[in-house]
Amino acid sequence: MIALYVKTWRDHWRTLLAWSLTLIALISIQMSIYPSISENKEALQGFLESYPEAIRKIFRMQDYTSGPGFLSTELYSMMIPLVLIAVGGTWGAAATAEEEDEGTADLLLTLPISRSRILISKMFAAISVVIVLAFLGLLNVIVLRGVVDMEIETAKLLAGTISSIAIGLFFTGVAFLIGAHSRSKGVAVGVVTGVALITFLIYSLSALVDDFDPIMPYNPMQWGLSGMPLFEGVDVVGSLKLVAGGLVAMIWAIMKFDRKDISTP
Amino acid sequence: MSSVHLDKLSKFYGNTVGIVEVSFDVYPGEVFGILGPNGAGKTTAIRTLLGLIKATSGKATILGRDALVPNVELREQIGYLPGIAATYDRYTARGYLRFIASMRKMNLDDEIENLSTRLDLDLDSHIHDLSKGNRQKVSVIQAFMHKPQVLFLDEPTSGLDPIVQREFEKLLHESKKRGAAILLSSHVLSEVEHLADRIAIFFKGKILVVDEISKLKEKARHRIEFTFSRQIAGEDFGQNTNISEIEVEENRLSCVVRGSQRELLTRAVELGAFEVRTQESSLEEIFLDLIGAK
Repeated sequence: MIALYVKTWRDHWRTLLAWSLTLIALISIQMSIYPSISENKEALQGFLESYPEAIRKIFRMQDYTSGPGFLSTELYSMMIPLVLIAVGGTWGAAATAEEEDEGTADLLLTLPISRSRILISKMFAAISVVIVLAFLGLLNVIVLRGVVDMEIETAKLLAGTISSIAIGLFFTGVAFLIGAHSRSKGVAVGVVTGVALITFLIYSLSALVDDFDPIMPYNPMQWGLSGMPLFEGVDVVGSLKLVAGGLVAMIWAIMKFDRKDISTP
Repeated sequence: MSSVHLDKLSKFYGNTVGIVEVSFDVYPGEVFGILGPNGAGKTTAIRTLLGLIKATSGKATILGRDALVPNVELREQIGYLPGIAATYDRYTARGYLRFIASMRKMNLDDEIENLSTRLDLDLDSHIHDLSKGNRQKVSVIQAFMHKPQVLFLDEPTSGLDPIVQREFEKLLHESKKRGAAILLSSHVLSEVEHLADRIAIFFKGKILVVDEISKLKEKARHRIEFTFSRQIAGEDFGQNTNISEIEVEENRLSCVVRGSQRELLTRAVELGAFEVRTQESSLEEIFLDLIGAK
C-alpha cells in the first residue's frame, strides 16, 4: 500500500511542482493588485455599480473591495477549486486508465495485492495531494494577507479552503470513476474538466437564468460555492454533500475496477 | 497433481471468441508451450488464468486453488512476463525491480544484482533510455527474481539477443529443476520445440492438439521415398488409405504418410523396395498441417 502511495506521488511530482508554482503565482498576482483596490474603495465601488446587474451577479461581485469579497471573486470561487480539480482529476484519471493505456496494468494486477487495495492506495494519494495543495494556497494567502494589508479572518480563509477541498475531492472521485470505466486517461481528464466547467458555468448563470433553478440542488458547484464560505464560514451541508459524492464515486470506481476486464494497448 | 489445470475454460468478448473450452494441465517441473498464430487465443488463455480478464465459463486452478477467484496469496507464487514489456519508464531498472519486490513484500536486492549480471543489464539506467531488448531483460528479471512456483511467460525472448536467450534458457532450466511449472507462449516454433516438454496448439480460440513434441512428430505426416529394383506404378499403393501426394519417377516413389508406416513399408518390401528415405516433419510443418486441416 505504502509503496504504491509513494509511487503515485513520485509519478506525478513534476506536474505537481508545476501546478504548485502555478497556484502560488496565481494567488500572488491576484493579491498583489489588492492594495490598489482597497485604496480606491469608493471609486471602484461606484465603478462596479455602473456594471450591468447581470455581470455583477455572474461574477458574484458583492462587496468586491473587501478582503473576503475580493478573494471570493478572484480566487476561491474559481481559480483555486479549478487547480484542485485539475490536479485531483488528473491523478484520478491516471490511476487506472493510464496503467491500462500503457500496458503496465497487466503486471501490476498480477502482483500480490488486490485491485481494490491498489485503487485505494492511489485514492489516498490523490486525496492527500488535493488537501496539501489547498493548504499550500491557504498558507500563501495568509502570508500575503499581511503584505497587502487585507482584512480577513483566518477562520474564514480556512472555510474557503475546506470548500475548495470538498469541490476538489468531488471531481477527483468523478475522475476515478470515469478512469475505471475508460481505458484512456485523456478521455477521463477531458470528461472531468468538461463537467467541472459546465457545472461552474451553470452555477454562474443561475443568478440570471431561472430555468436552471430545478437543477441547481444537484449542481456540485452550488453545493460548494453558494454558501459564500469567506463570508459565512464553512457550509457544512454543502461540503458534506461534495465529500459524500466524491466517496460514492470512488466506491463505485473500486467496484467497477474490481470486476473489469483489463485491456492491453 | 498438476500445478495449472484448465477445464473447458472459455472467454468471449460479446460475440467475439477469445478461447473456447480450453483444457490442459501443466505439471511441476514441466515447460508447457502454447503455440498458435496471432489471435489464436494464447494470450487470452494466460490473461484469463491470471484474472486479468474474467472467464465466461469453465474452471481453472493454479497450485490447487481456484484461479478464477482473486487470491492474493496465490499471486505470491506466480511469476508473469507479459507479452508487452510495459514498465514504468521514469524509474531506473533497479528502482523498478525494487518497487516490484516491495509490492511482493520481499527484499530481492541480491537476486536482482545476480540476475542483472547474468543478463548483462545495467541496473542504473533509466528504463526510458533502454533498448527493447534491455527492457525485456527487466521484465524477465521481475518474473524470475522471487523464484515463483508457477511462471507464465508470454513471448519471453522477444527482443533478446542470442547470448541472452541462452542465459534465459538456463534460467528456465533452473526453474524446472526446482519444480516450477512453466507456461510459455510463443509464435517462434523453433523456440518452443527447443524449450517445451509438451505443447498445445491453439487456433481460433480452440486447442487443436496437446501432446509431447516427439509424439506429435510420430503422428505427423512424413514424406517417404522408396527406390525399387524395377519400375513402379502409383496404383500399386492405392489400397493404403493413410498415404497421399504419391509421386512416381521410374523406379522411385515418394509419398506422404500419416500415422503408422507399417502397412506402407510391408507393401514396399513386397514390391521390391531396397532403399528407403524418410524425412521427419519439423514442428513448423506439424503446426501448418494442423492449421491447414482446419
